[in-house]
Amino acid sequence: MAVNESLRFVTFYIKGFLFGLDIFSVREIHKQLEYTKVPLATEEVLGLVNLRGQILTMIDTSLLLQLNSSDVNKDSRYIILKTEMKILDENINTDGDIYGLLVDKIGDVIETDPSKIEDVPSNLNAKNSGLDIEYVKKILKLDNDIMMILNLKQLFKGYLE
Amino acid sequence: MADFDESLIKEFISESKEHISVTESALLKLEDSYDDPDFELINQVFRAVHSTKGAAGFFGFKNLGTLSHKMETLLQKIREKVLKFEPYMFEHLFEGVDYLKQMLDDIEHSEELDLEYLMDIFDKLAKGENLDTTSKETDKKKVEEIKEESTINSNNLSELNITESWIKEILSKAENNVFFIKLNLPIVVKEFTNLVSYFDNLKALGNILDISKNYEKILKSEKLEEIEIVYDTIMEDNLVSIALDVDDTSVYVFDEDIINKIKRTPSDVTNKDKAVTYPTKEVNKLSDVTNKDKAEAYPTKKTVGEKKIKKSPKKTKNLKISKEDTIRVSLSHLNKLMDLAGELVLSRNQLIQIQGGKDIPVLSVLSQRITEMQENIMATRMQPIDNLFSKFKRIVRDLSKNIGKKIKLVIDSKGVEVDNTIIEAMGDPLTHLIRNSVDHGIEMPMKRLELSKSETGIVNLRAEHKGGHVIITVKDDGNGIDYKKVGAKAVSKGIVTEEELTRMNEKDIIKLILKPGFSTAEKVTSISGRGVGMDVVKTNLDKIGGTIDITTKVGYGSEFLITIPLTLAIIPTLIAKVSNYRFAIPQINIIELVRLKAEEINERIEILGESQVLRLREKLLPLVDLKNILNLKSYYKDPETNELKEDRRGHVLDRRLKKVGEREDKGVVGSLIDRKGPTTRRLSQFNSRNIIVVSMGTNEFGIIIDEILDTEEIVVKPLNKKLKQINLFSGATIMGDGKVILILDVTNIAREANLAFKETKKLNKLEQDKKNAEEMMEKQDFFVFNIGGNEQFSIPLSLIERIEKFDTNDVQVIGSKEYINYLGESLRLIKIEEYLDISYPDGVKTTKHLIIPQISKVKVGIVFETIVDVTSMNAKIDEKTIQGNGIMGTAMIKDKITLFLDIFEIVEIAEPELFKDINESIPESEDENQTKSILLVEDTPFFRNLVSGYIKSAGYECVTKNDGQEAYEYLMSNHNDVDLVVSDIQMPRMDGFELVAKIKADPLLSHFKVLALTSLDSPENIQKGLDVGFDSYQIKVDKEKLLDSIDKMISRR
Repeated sequence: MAVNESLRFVTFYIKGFLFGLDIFSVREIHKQLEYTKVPLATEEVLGLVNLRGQILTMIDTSLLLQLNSSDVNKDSRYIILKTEMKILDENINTDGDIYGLLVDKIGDVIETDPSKIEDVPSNLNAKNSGLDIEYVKKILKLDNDIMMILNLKQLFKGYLE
Repeated sequence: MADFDESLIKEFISESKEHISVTESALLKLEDSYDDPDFELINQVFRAVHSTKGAAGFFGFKNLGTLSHKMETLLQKIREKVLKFEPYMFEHLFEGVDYLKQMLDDIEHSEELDLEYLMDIFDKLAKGENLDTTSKETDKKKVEEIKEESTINSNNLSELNITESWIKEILSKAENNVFFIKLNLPIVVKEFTNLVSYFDNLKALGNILDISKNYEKILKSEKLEEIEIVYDTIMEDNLVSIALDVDDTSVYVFDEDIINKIKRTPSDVTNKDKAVTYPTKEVNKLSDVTNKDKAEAYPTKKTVGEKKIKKSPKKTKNLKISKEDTIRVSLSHLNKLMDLAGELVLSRNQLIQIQGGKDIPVLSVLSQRITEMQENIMATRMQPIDNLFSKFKRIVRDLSKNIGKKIKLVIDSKGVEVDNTIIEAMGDPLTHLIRNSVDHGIEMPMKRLELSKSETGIVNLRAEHKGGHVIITVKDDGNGIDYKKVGAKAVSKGIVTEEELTRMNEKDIIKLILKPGFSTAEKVTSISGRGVGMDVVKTNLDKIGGTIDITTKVGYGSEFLITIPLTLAIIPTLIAKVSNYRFAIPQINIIELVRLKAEEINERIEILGESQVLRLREKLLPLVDLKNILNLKSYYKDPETNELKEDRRGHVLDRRLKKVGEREDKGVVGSLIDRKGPTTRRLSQFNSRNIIVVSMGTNEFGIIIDEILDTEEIVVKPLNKKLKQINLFSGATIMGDGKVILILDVTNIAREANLAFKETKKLNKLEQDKKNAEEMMEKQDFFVFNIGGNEQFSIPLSLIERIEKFDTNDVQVIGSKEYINYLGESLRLIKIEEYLDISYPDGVKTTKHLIIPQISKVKVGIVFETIVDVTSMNAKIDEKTIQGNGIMGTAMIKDKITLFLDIFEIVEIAEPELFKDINESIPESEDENQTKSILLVEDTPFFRNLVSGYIKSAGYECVTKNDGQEAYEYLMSNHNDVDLVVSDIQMPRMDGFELVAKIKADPLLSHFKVLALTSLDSPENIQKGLDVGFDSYQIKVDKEKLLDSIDKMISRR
């Protein structure tokens, strides 16, 4: 990747935390989707969705992040992921499975220079924020917030192998 | 080039081209790293060339076949590390590949290419000769090594007239597999009508390269002796021995080492010293003879060339193969197209919903186009089943020729098309079935003529559409499958136990041939006995959701009926509702649906250990409550408020239900009244239960669901990896309303539920045994008729000799009796209404019928009016309700009480004087101090009663037993009380043959005389009966003859 090429992130909020996903990993965003529950599936699996003839699995992201489950309200959105994703220099392939993430609220698209992206600071940890930092790959400091780039591989542990 | 379908050749070409394209790229890579080659690549090239060779041989493209064969030989040596890749080899390999391509592109003219020189090069390369013009030095050593080897060999040979150069000469002449074969002519020729036809056969299947005795001399000489031939054929060694009918120990693969191989059998050494001389002159003579005799069918190499070239221009016309007809498209593209078409259809449906019933012409046109497009895309994956079928023509022809049978394959494919995946999956099972029919089904021509069948056996291969499925039938008119043999074999192979076998019906026994480890062929032949049995068929069918059914009749042939889905992507399912979920259950798993009304639940469902079981037709079926296994909530409808409420009961039944074995005497109705609260709830319509009975291999179980919604053809979509781990769902699908539902995986559900198959099986077995013991009976055919009155009558068909029609005007009255002229004799007519307490016929019909019973003593005809039916039923007759002289009892047939007549008694009443002497003879036996006792062994209650009645009426005592086992046990402890044994033959547990064998083998019992009383009246059975030890054999059931026999046997004692 050329050094100067800027990165664009789709941002979203879960339990007040701001997260970002590379825009090229996102297929589409939906406001309303109807899903079918899967008996015996783990808690975070909301169900199966028919997306124009393809079946995708909808995930309650906050449960996957080991936070409390999200309530669905008018701000809730479903982010549909591509089957081939790129998180910074890491490639993730779901082997054809399509996933959707339920998020509390969608944020702006943020464009940034790759050099601005920082490692996760050591003071950000489960004890003082409630969020396990193993799900955060890198961060980007914004004017009045911190955008956390999701570590999808960690997040989808158990789904990818 | 034989008469093959053009389509088949096309397919071969496009396949071979694909193979060759692989070769090229692999060779390129190999050339780069020839000193350390990737063996996987070598294998790849080898396989490609090999399969091209195979297919070319199949269609008779000789040039193509030979070239690929020579290339294959070289590659084989490299693969086996006999030779190493050398840079100069690649040039020739590429040249070879080019030629193969050229020939494939223009197959009509492929025989015209002169490839001698290239083939020569490959021969040399395969022998390890260095053809490198630039660096001869490097490989000198290798060549020398090879030379050294040969000299060592030749030293060993001098005493035999087989020289090394001779071997080389033979090997250079060889085109296919070469064998050294010892033919013991006196033995092998016996199988064929004469020597000439045997040699014709030899020549038809290959070429004789050399022979130890001049063919003409053999023909002239009076005495046949052992000769030796060198034989070149496309057959493999195991086939050769079968085709030529020689022992496989007399067939040797001909190679450099042949001398040692032959030498190894010491008995032949002396013989060979004299016999094996190979004078070249005689060889030439032989080939002359061969040419003259069989130049048409088996020309030598040269004539082949000439003929082919001459023939080619003619053939060109028929074999016009247009190259633009097909292109190969990757399946993934097609699948993607299928998906997209599916999405289009869905969007269309939504659009139609949005327009809300308004008629928009454009939309309906669009909609129609979309449907057409979807159908066409589906069709791209479809292939005519003929592609598969036509290859069997050659297989049947070759196989039947090899084993000397005459067989015609009749194909009727009715233009059926199926999914590509199915074509692929059906290849093996069908080949196996057809081979089976050819090998085991159809008899040898001689045998067929003996059986007065046509000499040529027919194998039918048929395909047709039926209700969303394709039915493929493989049928032959051969000797059928003997279920008894199958059963015996299955027991000996440990597939079933003897005990299990006795409980199986014929059809189930025949199906045992599909079990792994079963093979009916007594002699393992190379054709169908390769260690893989019919289980291959079953396994392959299971994979694609197909089923197989076998119908067979000994002496008449077998029919294998295969049902397969049209496509694997779309499967028919049943949509079931549980709680508020919908699930799809593949119909292939479903056997039946059972609906239990709320009040039946307690009665039909019981608890066994941990599981619930359903009582279904006398059998216990383990149940799975889908709610429990999927951890779903139960709801019930409150009958008062009509609200759905969560049901907290753990089971469909509440905990008060009884366990198996403690059935309450109190009626269900009573208990319902007792417990008002919960039962009214259960009684409501909503709370009835549906059970889907499904099969999982040999096990069956029931799945409890709430409601059955519909049947639907669904497109299966896979689940993601995480959800797959749940294991209870085999996939998901999208319903017509756009919602996603899950497909149940029946097999895993049973596993998860830990079903009590073993326990229920045990219980079922116990119940079955009990039932068997209670009413061991075989089905009997009954003739049902009426005489014009109200009653319906029946007589066992086996007691009837003939049924005749007559006109009442022809009846002559003499005294009080009526007679009719029947076959030149006067026949006494008996009207049963005159002897029994029954109504008289009301109408006056002039045409009536006669039953002529099997009574040897007297010929009478029993008059009746109409035939009602001939029915097969269990001979369970109620002997108590209606009693009387001449009536044995009653049973329900066709919803009518039917009287079973005792014909003998009626005849006795009608013609008492005829039976006088018999009845008078009785006191004789009674004169003796002690009444003689007869043990009657008969499994059919009907006959048991009938015959014991006869025996008793003759003044004997009669003890009855239900089967051989019971009788034997009785005899063991009561051998002093029995004077004669009368036994049926066909009985459960222990049949008559076995019983008599046991009696005769036991020193305590062997003095017993045993009389067989049976309906098995074939001469073979009678002979078998007498052979195993029956002292007399009587056919069921002629009273006088039987009693006569008994009298004789008792007095003889």
